[in-house]
Amino acid sequence: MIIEACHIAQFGKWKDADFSFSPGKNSFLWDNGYGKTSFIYFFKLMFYGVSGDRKQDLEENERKHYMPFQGASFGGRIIFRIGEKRYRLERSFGLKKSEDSFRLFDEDSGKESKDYSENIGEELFSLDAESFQRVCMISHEDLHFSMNSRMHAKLGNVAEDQEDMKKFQQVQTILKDGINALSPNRRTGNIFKLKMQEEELSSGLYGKEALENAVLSIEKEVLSLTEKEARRKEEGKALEAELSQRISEKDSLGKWMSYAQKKEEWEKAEYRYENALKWYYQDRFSEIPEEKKALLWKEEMQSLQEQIHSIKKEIEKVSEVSGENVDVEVEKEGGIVLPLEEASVPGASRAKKDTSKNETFGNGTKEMGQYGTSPVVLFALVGLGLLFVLLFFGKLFGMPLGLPSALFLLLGILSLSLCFFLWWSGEQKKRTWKEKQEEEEARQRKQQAIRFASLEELLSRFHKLEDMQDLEMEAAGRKEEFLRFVEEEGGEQAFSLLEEKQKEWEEGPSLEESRRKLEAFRKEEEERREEIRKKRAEREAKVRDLEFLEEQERLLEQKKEEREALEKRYNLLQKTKAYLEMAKERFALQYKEPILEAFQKYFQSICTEPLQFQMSEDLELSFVDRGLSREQGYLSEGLQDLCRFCQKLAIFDAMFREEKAFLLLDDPFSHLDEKNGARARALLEELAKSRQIFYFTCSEERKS
Amino acid sequence: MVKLIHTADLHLDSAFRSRFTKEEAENRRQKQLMAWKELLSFAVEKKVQGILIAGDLFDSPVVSHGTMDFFLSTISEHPEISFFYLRGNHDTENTFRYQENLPKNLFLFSEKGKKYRLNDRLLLAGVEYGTEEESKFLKLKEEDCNILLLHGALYQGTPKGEAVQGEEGIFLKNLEKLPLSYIALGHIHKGGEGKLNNGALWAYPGCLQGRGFDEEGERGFLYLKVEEEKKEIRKEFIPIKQGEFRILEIELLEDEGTLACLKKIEVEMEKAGIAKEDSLRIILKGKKGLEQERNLRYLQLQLQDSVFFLEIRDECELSWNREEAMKEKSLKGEFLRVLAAADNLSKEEQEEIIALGMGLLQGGEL
Repeated sequence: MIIEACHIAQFGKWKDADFSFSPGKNSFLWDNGYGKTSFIYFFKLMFYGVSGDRKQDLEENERKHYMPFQGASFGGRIIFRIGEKRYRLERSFGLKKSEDSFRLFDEDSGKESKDYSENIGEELFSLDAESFQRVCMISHEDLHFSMNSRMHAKLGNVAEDQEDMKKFQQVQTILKDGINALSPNRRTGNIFKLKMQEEELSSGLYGKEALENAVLSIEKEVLSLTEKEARRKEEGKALEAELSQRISEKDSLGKWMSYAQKKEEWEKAEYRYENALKWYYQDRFSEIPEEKKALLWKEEMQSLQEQIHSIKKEIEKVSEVSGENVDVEVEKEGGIVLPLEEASVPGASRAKKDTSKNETFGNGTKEMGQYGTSPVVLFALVGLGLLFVLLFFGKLFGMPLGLPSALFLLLGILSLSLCFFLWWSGEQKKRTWKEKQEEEEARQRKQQAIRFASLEELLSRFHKLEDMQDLEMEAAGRKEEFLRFVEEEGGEQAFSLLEEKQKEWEEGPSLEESRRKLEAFRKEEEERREEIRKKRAEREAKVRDLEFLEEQERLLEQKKEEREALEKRYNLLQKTKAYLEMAKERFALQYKEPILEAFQKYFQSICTEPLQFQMSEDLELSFVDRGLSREQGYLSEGLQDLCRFCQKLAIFDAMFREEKAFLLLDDPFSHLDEKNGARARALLEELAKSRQIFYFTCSEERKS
Repeated sequence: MVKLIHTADLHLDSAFRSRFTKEEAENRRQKQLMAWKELLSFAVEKKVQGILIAGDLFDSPVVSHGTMDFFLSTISEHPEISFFYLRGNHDTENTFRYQENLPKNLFLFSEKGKKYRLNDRLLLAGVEYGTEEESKFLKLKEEDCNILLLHGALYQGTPKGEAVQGEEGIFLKNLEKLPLSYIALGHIHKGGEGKLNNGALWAYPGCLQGRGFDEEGERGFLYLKVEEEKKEIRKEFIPIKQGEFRILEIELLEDEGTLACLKKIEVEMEKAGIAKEDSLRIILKGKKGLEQERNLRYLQLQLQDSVFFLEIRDECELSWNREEAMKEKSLKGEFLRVLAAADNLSKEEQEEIIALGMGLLQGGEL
C-alpha cells in the first residue's frame, strides 16, 4: 500500500495542508511543536477513526486532543494506492461520533467505493488501532513493545480466524482460574476442601467396624442369655413342681398334723375325763360298768344342785331378815343362781354398795335410832341452857330481868345437865342395843357360816362334778371334732397314707428350702431378663449410632465420587491449558524465528555489538551472555531502544510479508549515538526500497 | 401340586450410598419393602404355600429395627404361607435368632443343613452359605421331589470332597450325584437358569429389585408350580415394578442440538416405558461438532420430574474433519495438531481436551 497524498483540512494545529508523498522514504525536518505527532496521528485516525471518546485524559481522548480549539470538525482526505487501484479516503470528525463522516472513493473513477468500510484500517492492515500503533508508528518517546493476540494473529498470517488467538489469553485465564478453583493443594480449592471433608468423614467412620462388631457381639450375648433362659426354664419348672409338691405336702402335713393334733386333744380330753371319773369313783372305778360310769355322777350332780339351791334360798332369806341389804352379784350357771365368791369367802355376801354406815345397816339403823334421844330435843335443851346462861350473864351485867341471876344460872345448868344426861343415856342404850345386835349378828353369822360351809362343801363337790361334766363335754366335743375332720378329709385311710409319708417328708428338703431355691432361681431369671432387656436396648442404641455412621458413609462416598469427578476435571483443565500453551508456542514459532532472524539482521546492521539474542513466544527479547540468557534490561538505554526499534522493524516485516503497510517514524534515533544513528538511517534507506516510510525528525543531522 | 415362590438377594436395608441424597436413599429403601409386599400380594392371590428365600435377605449383618419389624410382621400376617429362609453371605447366623417371638411360619436353616418335609413327596433342604457340609448329610430319597436351597456362585470344576459347596462356590458336579429336582439358588443378582446332567433344574431369580445402574432392567422373582409326583417343576418369572434402574442410549446426529435431543429422549422414554418410579441414566451417543455444545443442564431440568432419579452422560463422538481442521492456520489448528501428535493421551482424553479447548476458544464457558 502506498499513500500518495493527503489533505489535512483541520487536525490539531494543522489546517488546510496538502502533501504529496513518494513510495519510499519521505523525510520531514520539522522543529519541535511543528506538528509531527499530530501529522502521524492524522494517518492513524483517518484509517481507524477516533478512539477514547469516553476518556477524560486528553492524551487518551483523541477527539478532544485533535479537535481545533474553536470546536469545529476536523479531518481531511488521503489518496492511497493498493496494487493498481487508487482510493480517496475522506473522513471528518465532529464533536461526537454521530457527527463523524466517512467516505471512500475510487480515485480514478471518482465514484464512491464500497471496497472498505469505515473500519478500513482493520480491513487493510488486519490490525486493530492499537496494534497498528504499536507496529507501524515508531516514536522515540515510546519504543517499548508488547504483543497482543491480534498481533500474534497477524503474525500467524491468519486472516480467516483470529478470534481464537484473541481469546487465547482469556481462555488461559479462564483455565487458570478453573484450575485454581479446583486445586487439590490450595485451601480454597474444591478438591482440597472435598479431601478435608472426606478425611473428617473417614475419621468419624473409624469406629464403624468396631461398632458393627459390638452390635453383633451383643446379639450373640443376648442369644446366649436367651438360650440359657430356655434351658433353665426346665429347671424352673422342676423347682416350681418341687415347691408345689412341698406346699401340697405341707398341706397334707398340715392336715396330718391337724389330724394328729385333734386326735391327741381328743385322747387327752378322754384321758382327763377318765381321770376325773377315776377320782370320782375311786376304788369302785373298775367295778362300775362303763355305761353306769357316766350316769352315776350325773345323778349326784343333780342332787347336789338341788341341795345347793335350797341352801341358797335359806341364805337369801336370812339375809333379808337380818336387814342386810344383800346386793350380790349373781352368776347363773346351769340355771342355778349362785353368789359370787362364796366359795372363797365363807359366809360372805358382799354388798355392792357401801356408801354410808347408815345405808350399810339399812333397817338396823332405823331400829338403833329408836333407842337414842331425838337430836331436836337435845338441841332444844342445849339452846335453853345456853339461853339461861346468857340471861345469867346478862343479869350480872345489869340486864333488867325479873328473876335472879342465880336462877338463870341454875336453869341453865339444869338444862344443860339434862341434855347431857339424856344424850348419855341414849348412848348407853344404843351401845347396849348394838351389843345385842352384834351378838345376834354373830349368832346369825355363825349360822350362816355353818350354812355357807355346808354350801361350800356342796358347791365344791358340785364344781368338781361340773368340771367333770366339762371334761366329758370336752372329750365329746373333741371326739366329734376329730371325727368330723377325718370325714371331711376323706376318712381314716387318707390319713394312714399320710402317716406313712410323713417320715419321708421330714427327711426331704423343707418347704422353706424349696421356696428359697425357687426364689433364688426367680431372682436369677429376673436378673437375666433384665440383662437381656439392657442388652437389647444397648443394641438398639448402637444400631442408631450405626445408622448415623451409615449416613456419614453415604456422604463420604458421595464426596469421594465428587472429588474423583473434580480431579478428572482438574486433570482435563490442566492438560487443556498445557496443550493450548503448547499450541500457542508452536504457533508462534512459525513467525518467531523469522522475526528473530530479521531482528538480528537489523540489529547487526546498526550496531556492532556482537550480541546474540533470543526471543520468547511473546517475542520478548533476551540476549545471551556467557551462555546465560539475560533480559534486555541489562543493556544500556540506547541499546535497548535500538533493540526495540529493530524488533519493531522485524515484526513489521513479519506482519506485512506481502502487501506492506507504511511506517511512521517519529524521530526514532534520537537516543542513538552518531555511529549507530548513521547506520540506522542507512538502514532506513535500505528499507524504504521495499516499503513507504514517513520519517520525522527535528534534527538536520538525523535527517540526512 | 404345590405352589412356591423362589426369591433371593432382596438386600433390604441397603445403604444406597452413592449417587442418591439421604431422602432418595430412604425412598429407595422403602421401595425395597414395597417390592417385598408386592411379592406377598402375588403369593396371596395365587395361594402360594411356600416362599423360598435363598439368602441375602438383608444387606448387612446389622438390620434396623424398623425393617426387621416390618419383615417379621409381614410373615406373621400370612400364617397360611410358610417362609423358608437360607442365610446368605450378607446375613449373619443371628439375624433372626436374635429376634424375640419369631413367627411360627418362618423356618430357618443351619450350617449343618436342615430338611423340611413339605408333604409326602416333597422335601426341601438347605445348607447355609460358607459351610462345607458333606452332601451325604442330606440323605435324600430318590422317590421324593427334592428341592435344595443354596447361596453362592456355581463352580463347574471338580471339587475335592463330597461337599455341596466350598470356597470355590457351589459344586455342580457333587450336586449331580444327588436326587434333586430343583436347586433354588441365590447370590447372583442377574437371573439365570440351567440344567444339570442329572436333569435337575437350577435357577437364580436375580435380585428382587435393582440397586444401581449395574443392576439395570427388569427384576423380580420365580413362581414355581411343583408336580411332586412327577417331579416336574414349572417356573415363571414375575417382574416387580417398584422402580427399576434403566439405561437409555440416545443416538444423535451432529446437527441435532439440545431441543432435538430432548425430543428424541422423550420419544425413547415413551417407547421404553420408563415409569415415574424408575431411575434413569441417559447416555447421549452419536456425533457432535467441535463447536457444538448441548445444554445438559437444560435437559436435566426438563426431564428430572418424569423419573425418580436422572443422570445424563454425554458420550457423543466429536465430529470434525480432522484432515481439514489440522491444516487450519490458526491456534485452533495448531491445537489440534499438537493433540494429534500426543501419544500419551487416549482417544477419549483427546476428545475431551479438544471439546473443552475448542469450546473455550469459541467463547464457551467452563
